[in-house]
Amino acid sequence: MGRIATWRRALVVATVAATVTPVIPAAAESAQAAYEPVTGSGSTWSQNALDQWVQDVRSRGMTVSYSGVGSSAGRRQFADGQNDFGVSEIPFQGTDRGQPDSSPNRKFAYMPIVAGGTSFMYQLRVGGQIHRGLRLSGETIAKIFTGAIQNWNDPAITRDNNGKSFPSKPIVPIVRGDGSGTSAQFTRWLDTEYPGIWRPYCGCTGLTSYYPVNKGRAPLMTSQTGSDRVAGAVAAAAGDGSITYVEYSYATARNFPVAKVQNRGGFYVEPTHFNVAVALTRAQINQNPNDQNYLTQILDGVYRHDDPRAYPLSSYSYAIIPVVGTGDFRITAGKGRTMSDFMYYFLCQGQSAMPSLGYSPLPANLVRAGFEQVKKIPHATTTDQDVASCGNPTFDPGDLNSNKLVREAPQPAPCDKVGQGPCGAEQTSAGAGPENGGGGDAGPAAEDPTGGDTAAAEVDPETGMVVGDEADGSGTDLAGNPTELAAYRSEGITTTLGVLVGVQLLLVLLVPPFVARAVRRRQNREQ
Amino acid sequence: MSRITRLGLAVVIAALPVVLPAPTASAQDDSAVEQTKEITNYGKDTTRNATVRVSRTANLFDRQQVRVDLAGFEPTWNANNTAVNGTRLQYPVVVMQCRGVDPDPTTCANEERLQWQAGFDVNATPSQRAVAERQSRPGDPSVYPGADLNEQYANLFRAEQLPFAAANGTSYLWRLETRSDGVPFIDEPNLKSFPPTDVTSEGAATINTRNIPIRPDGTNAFLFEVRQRASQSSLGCSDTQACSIVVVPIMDMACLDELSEDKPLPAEALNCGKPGRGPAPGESGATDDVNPFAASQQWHAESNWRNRFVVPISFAPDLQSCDVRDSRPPLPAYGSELVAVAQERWGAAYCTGARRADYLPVYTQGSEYFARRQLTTQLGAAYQQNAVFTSQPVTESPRPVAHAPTAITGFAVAFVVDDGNGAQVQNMTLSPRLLAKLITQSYNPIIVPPAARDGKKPYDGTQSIPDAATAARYYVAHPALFNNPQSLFADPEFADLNPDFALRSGTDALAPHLRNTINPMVFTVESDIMMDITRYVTGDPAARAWLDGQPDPYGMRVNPAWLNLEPTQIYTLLDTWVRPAMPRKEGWLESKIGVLTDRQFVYGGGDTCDEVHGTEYLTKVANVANAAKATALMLLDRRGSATPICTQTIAPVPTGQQAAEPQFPGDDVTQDVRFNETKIAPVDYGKRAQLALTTVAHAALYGLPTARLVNSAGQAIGPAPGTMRSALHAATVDPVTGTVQIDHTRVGADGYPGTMVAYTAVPTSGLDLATAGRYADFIEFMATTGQVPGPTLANLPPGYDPLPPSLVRQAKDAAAAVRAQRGEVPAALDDPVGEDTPPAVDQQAPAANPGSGLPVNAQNADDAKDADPERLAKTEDASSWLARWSIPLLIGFGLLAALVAFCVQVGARPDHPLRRGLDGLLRAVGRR
Repeated sequence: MGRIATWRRALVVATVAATVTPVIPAAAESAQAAYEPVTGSGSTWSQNALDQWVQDVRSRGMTVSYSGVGSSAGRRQFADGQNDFGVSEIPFQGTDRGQPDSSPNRKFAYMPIVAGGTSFMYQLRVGGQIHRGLRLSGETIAKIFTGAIQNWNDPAITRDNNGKSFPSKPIVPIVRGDGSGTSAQFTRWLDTEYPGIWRPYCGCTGLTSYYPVNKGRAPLMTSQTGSDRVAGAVAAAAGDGSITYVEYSYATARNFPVAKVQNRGGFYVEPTHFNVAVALTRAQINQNPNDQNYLTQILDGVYRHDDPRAYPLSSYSYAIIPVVGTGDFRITAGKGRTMSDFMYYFLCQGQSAMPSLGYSPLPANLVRAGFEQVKKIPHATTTDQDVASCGNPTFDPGDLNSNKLVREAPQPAPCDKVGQGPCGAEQTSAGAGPENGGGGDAGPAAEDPTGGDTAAAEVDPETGMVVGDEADGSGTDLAGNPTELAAYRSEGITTTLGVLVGVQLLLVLLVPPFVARAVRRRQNREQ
Repeated sequence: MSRITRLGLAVVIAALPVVLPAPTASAQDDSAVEQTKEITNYGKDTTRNATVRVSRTANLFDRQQVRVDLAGFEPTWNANNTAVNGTRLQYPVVVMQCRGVDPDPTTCANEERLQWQAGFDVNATPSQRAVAERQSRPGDPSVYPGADLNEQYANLFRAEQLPFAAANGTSYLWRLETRSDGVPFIDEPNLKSFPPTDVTSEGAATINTRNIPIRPDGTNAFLFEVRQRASQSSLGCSDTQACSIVVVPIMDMACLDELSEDKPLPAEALNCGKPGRGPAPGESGATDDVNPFAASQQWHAESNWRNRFVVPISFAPDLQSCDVRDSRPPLPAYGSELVAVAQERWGAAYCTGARRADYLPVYTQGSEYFARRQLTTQLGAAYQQNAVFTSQPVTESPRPVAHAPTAITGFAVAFVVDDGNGAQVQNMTLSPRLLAKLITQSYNPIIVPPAARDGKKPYDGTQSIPDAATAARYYVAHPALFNNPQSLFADPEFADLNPDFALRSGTDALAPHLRNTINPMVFTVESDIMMDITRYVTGDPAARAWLDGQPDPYGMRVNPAWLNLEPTQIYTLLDTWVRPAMPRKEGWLESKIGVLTDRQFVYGGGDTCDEVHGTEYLTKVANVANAAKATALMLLDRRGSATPICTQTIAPVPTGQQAAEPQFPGDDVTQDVRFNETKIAPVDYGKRAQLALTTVAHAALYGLPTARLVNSAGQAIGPAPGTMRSALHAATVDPVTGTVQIDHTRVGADGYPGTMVAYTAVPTSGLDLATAGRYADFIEFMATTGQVPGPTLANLPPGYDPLPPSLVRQAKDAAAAVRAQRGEVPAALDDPVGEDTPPAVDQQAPAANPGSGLPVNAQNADDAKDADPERLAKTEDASSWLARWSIPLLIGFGLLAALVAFCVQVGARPDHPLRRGLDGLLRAVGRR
């Protein structure tokens, strides 16, 4: 009896081993340095993404700690050798409002880590209820954050909302008090798009990480330190009438609405991962690998993209990574391995969770470029990575040069068009809710001749970088817009799969005993 | 689903998981170590017996805290000066972690490594003595050879710093000073003149060394955080590298009378052997002017080092075998932080081979509310999530959803509090009303003593105050909290519940650090956890009455901004009072604000940040975070996110860009001045008083003490193992989804009221079968193998109670429904705890399901469900013939194949046990 039990257990093990197709790779790290803890600091805009990745890699034996101290502080700590990597929305600026901002002693490179939309989270109560679905044009936003519009009943806001007016209530703009990449992103947009409104207010030109609180012009404006505190201030009871700029994920986690922002396509849109991805097809990426600012972004094209889906304030966030060269005494072999494996993870598999956190994943060309940047880290583990295996929702495994996310991005609802609507308060975004979502909207999107894809193909397929395949062929690709909802794709596939499973099962059951026997026979012979 | 199918599935299920080996050690760990020995004060030539006890020394995890008890040591002088990690204490006890079980000072992680003073010890090592001989004071580079100052400094560090030998063979001299070009003085392959780069000055990687003040009775107790290779690789402790906790009492040093060759002692060394300075043990006051020869930096002086206690410790194996390049398809699951700690372990099991599968679960932490919204709505063409972790059931889903029980854990109030004697508190009891007081920000944040208040008027920022005399007639206080106690520890209700808590300090009835208003660390995202915390609080009659405006027996009232609080899923800061800034004096200029000299002094008044930002005061001092993990880490980091400090940064404005005239009163056009609301520095050890709302599992992960919460039976129960499972007796069952929720008004005497159950919710229709099969497999793993508690990284971690058998069965049923994708939703369990424990109290939820009247057990649970046709939500997919029969056919085929294989094997092997058995049987029969 005991023998039979043993035999059965052996069979079960064999079954499992054979059913589970890819056998876990054996630890091939004999010659590699052991992982060592790595510390990073900087942006709170992308902190939710980094927190997720840090948690993910713990089960992979890596200890990474990240503190959201603000982009400016992150850049400074990098320059001073106080962290292993920094995270920032903008490159080193030289100086910013009198504060030095450069890394003269420590060599570095930039690497995009994730995309996202700077959203306008607000609390506006109408009859005690939080109003959702507020629409704002860029000009109105610029005026709100420079004190030129101070009340929610302002005619400009009524006009943005197609005649829907809001009660008289002072607008409280809440800005970041610490040196912030979110402020830099926002003020760069203000400076590029509305210099006539922004520059007199700021008394400056260009972007700044330190948003000026000019009480003379905007008496109600206040500031808070860090993304979670500005979001918390809007969500607080005292926050009625307030509005802030913060990465989208901070609003979604609190279930607070964000303003739909008018784009050049004539629609008011939210910063969904779709709309961010569409907008960023117009980002101009520095393509000179020999330039210190390689891979950094120029967003003018993003601000002005005329695709009806594009969210104007979309951008990439960057890691500042140490590279082989002078000034780095922190990066040991173990740290270099940890950092390169961590970054490989978040560039690749780590991107798949980004939509559920309120970010937009990187497109294939930036992931590929990121892999090359990772190799520059001192002691990096340099293996060539296969982009196709990343599970990144922007990737089309069949055609890596085509941005699947952009292709599938739904069109905004007609009621979000300038001069239409506004959409019902409960409807937060196009495609939300099963009855009007998905399939129905995807069709028109594909056929829309003014859609971004055809336009994008003329200039730069994804992000402005030269990619192998210039011929996007988006028109034809779009016809095969896949819908993964159906449980059973086709009967043919299911049947084939069924037969395969059967054969496999048969093999699984038949092969092990024979193999075992052969082995035993050989052993007997050797004895 | 037919019974045959189910049977087939059951076979497959049984064959899939490889059961983990039984845990090597039980969850109860008894590796406490106690050492007593005679220690010698070499300076005074006296001895005493001292004892060190460490609560746990084996199978440790990274960043785990172990309790250390000290007794019989010399009391510490200047004990109130705990600043700078206790480096100003006189005669403290130094506690640190060292590599090896018989360490010497070079393998101990301690940043104090200057050898000069130790060189005057009678028993000094040669290298220590050499430094003392060469230098009349430490740190002078001119006495060292070298072509330039850089070389001289390099030689100085080489000679004067005791090296720290890192695990990789590199030595660190630990003193970070760089040359003018930013390059360290020494950066050789094996020698560095800076600290190991895995040590930072703040946050997660601060060194764990502690300098402990000893109380007048010769004792102290505290939690010591151990570091494994993962967080401090330079120390390098692991399952294969034993380490130790080393305790060195600092006492008087036996000092030289003179240096060699009749060389007199230099002036700075004359303090050697002199007593420590500052107040004597037990007295109040503190000084920064201390005797370095009696301070913690002498830990490696021979007179002290010889008295060391060495307590060996060992770590649990770390699983480093997950590969970032693992190419298995990820299986995403999103949601509740209740499962976060367990997911870390479970995820590791998939990488180490403890769980074999052709997929890799990828857990993303997030709000349960957001999770449920994503599960039930589409963005673009697809649903946003197909598997979420949630405590409350998923409702209004277009797809039928099965809820599989996955984890029993709960919310917790973790705390890091040092009592009036400076000892870390281990036990605390909180009632629902005390918790209500904390979360409603009802303690008085600004105390105005009677002398500053009597006959005076509150200042609201509008009164005209031209001079100091007028200012003295006013004070500032929160108008609604004026008469409430200033902090939790000043609340008589707290003292009643915690009679053993030492509140006094010296002559103070309440230690100064306990007087400050405690603003608990709270996460401000939508969360089932916050919902249950507020359900617990509002479900208590006394707390309910208090929240509705009735004062407590001592007259404390709720902050009116929170009056009539109802259960809520998101913590919102409701108080809107802004602290009025002290009025500006004539000619106030923004760039001079740094101090308040340009303002008229009004007692309790605010600063320029209050004036510029106008942040609501209680919002400014609130500690908010994005997650329960973050609040727990704030306790370890000894500070929250509150920004009570007002700082300024000034940048000159170039002459050409200056405005012609001031933009506002007091504007300094030559300067660009920014006022920042800033965090406090981490609180000193010995003066901590912080609480955090977090989960039981996160508190357990970091070894944080958790409060006992008073339950409806009037018992104060902490989240000890078994108390959460016990609380399930007070669960009510949702008849539609089968999920349970604790009824806080019915928790029995031994039940922890913070208990929560986390479910995995997955649709039972609409998924492709391959994905569905993976989710089903994942659910089964979590509910079975994943529920074995134990110390290794593949076990259920502390902070969770294992699922009782009935919930395991429920999970398996849910998995079967997910795998089948026929729209089935398993029936609700009648009794969540099952028959293995005493039956639950009467169900309050109506038994809507007649079928569930059957006793639920292993044999007939399935029949009970099948007998209830209402449970089968009909969907389009269920009408597909292929979908209905392909799997059963395959399974049947598989069974047939198994039978064939078996026969083939029996036939092919003459020595097959069955054949031999049959032969034997036949022979026996034949013989008879």
